[in-house]
Amino acid sequence: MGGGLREGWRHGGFLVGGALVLAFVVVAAGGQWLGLGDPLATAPARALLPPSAAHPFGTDPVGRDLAARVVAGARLSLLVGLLSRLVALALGTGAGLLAGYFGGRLDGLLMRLADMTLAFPALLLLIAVVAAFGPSLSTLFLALGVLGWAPVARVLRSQVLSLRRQDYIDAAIALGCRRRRILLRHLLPACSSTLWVLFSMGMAGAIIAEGSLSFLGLGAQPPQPSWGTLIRDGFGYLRTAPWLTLIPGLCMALAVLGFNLLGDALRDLLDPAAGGRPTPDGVEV
Amino acid sequence: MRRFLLRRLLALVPVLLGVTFLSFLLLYVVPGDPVQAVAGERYDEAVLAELRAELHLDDPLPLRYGRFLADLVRGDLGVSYVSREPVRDAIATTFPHTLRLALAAMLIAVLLGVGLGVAAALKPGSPLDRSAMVLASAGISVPVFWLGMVLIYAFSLKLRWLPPSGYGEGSLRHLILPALTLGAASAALIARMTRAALLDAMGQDYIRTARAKGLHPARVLLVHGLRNALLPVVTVVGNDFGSYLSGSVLTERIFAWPGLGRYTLDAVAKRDLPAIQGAILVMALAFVLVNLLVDLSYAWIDPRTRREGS
Repeated sequence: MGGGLREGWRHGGFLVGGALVLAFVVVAAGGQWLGLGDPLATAPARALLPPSAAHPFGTDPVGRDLAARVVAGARLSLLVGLLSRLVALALGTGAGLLAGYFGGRLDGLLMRLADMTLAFPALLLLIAVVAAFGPSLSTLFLALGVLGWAPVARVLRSQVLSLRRQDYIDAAIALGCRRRRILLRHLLPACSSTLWVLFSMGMAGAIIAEGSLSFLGLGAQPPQPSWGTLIRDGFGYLRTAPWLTLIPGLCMALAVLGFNLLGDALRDLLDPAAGGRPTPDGVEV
Repeated sequence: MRRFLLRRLLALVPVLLGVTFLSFLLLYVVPGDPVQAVAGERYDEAVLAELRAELHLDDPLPLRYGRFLADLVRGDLGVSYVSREPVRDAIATTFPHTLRLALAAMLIAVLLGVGLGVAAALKPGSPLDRSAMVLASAGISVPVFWLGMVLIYAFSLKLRWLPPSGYGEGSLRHLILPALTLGAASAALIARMTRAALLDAMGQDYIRTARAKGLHPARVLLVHGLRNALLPVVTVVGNDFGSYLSGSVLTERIFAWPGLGRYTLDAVAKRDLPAIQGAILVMALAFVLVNLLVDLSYAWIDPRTRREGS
C-alpha cells in the first residue's frame, strides 16, 4: 500500500483531511499539556464569558472553561469512535472473511443477518438498544460497534470473493496451507487498504452517532464533556451565549469532514478500483 | 416484472419477521420487571401476580411473540405505561406531522440538490462548480442537530425572519427551518450525484447527436442530459426518505416538532416501553416499505435491474 500513499502530497483531500485528523488526534491525546485547566472546575464568578484571550472559547453557565471542555470532548468522541470502530471492524472482518471464503450456507446465513441489520434504521436501532440497557458510554460504543459490523462484512466478503480466484491463493492451497493461514496470512493482508478506508469513513459516522446520542441524552452522561453533551448543554443559551453550541459543533463538523475527506482520499490512493479507475485485477496485492 | 415483484415480496418476509422480533425483544431484554413499571409505586405481590398473568408475562417466549404478532396484525400496539392510552392512537396523531416534515425536507433537498448539481456541471472546474462542491462536502459532514441550531441562531434569533421552534398549527413559516435542517444532507448528496451523472451523460454519443442537430445547449443539457442523469437521484431520494421517517428524531427534538421522533424520545425518557416499542416498530416498518417501493420503482424505470443477483 506504500506506493499509493506516496501520491498523497498531490491529493488535496488527503492533505486537508489528514491535517484535520492529525490536529484532532494530537489535541485529544495531548490536551492536558495545553494549559487550559480542569474541564470540570466551576467558577460562578466567570460564568458565561464570551471568548477572550484568557478563555479562547468562552465559559459556560457555571464558569467552566469551554476550550478545556471541547478538548476533553475531543478525547471522548475520538475514543468512542475508535473503540466502536475496532469492534465493528473485528466482527465485520471475521464475518466477511468467513462468508467470502467458505460461501454456501454460512455465507447465506451471514448475509441475511447483515440484510436484517441494515433493514433497521441505524439511529433508531441505537436508541432502542440504549433505551433497553440504559444510557452509558460503554453501552454506546458497544452498540455502535456491534451494529456497525454489517457494512464492513459486506465489503470484505465481496473483496474476498474476487481475491479467492487469484493464482496466489490457489498456490497457497496447493502448497498445503491450512485454511486459518490462508485466511489470516494471505487474504487479510490483501484487504488492509479496504480496512483503512472503512476505518476512516466509519470514524466519521461514529463521531456523528456518538454526538447525536449524547445530544439526545443517551450517550455520555454529565459532567463528562463530549461534543454532543456540550451542544446539548449550550442549546438553552443559544440566544445569550451562542459560542456554547457553535464552537463544539464546529469542531465536530471539522473532525467529521476530516475523516470523510481522508477516507475518500485513501480510497482514491490505495484502492483505485473502488474509485472508478479500473486496475488489471481490481485489487492491489 | 411480476416474478421480480413476487421475489421481492418473499424476501420481505424474513426482514419483517426480524424487525418485529427485534422490537418484541426490546421489551423482553430490558433489565427490571416491566410489571413494576405498570403497577407504579403502590403494589403488593398479589397485584403483581395478577398483572403478570393479565399481561401473559409468565408464558414462554415463542408464545408471547406469537401473541405480539397477532395483536400487531389487528393493529393493536398495546397501552402506554404512562398515559394509559393506546399507543396506536398516539402514533396516529404524531406520524402525519413526521410525514409532513419528511415530504417538505425531500422537496427542499431535490430542488436545492438538482439546482446546485446542474449549476456545477454547466462549467466543470469553474469557481461556481468548486464552491458548489465544497458546500456539498460540508453539507455531508455537518451534524444535523448542529446545523439546526445554526439556522435557528441565524434566521430566528439574529435576523428574526422565521420562528425558532414549534408546529404553529401547520403554518408554512414553522416548516421551513426544520425541513431545511432535515433535507440538507440529502441536498448535498443529490448535488454531487447530479453533477457526476450529468457530466457522465454529457459525454455520451446521443448528446453529441443532439448538439449536432443544432439544438439549443440549454435544451441539450436539461432535456437530453438531465433526464438520463436523474436515475441515481431517484435512489438517493428513496433511500433518504425512508430514513427521514425515522431519522427526524434529532430535527424534531431541536425544533420541538410534535412528530413520531419526539414521541419516541419522550417515551425513552420515561421508559414507557410499549410506546418505545410501538414507535420503533412503525418507523422500522415504514423504512422497510419505502425501501421496497424504491427498489420496485428502480426496476420499473430501469429494466436491467430486474435480473437475478442484482
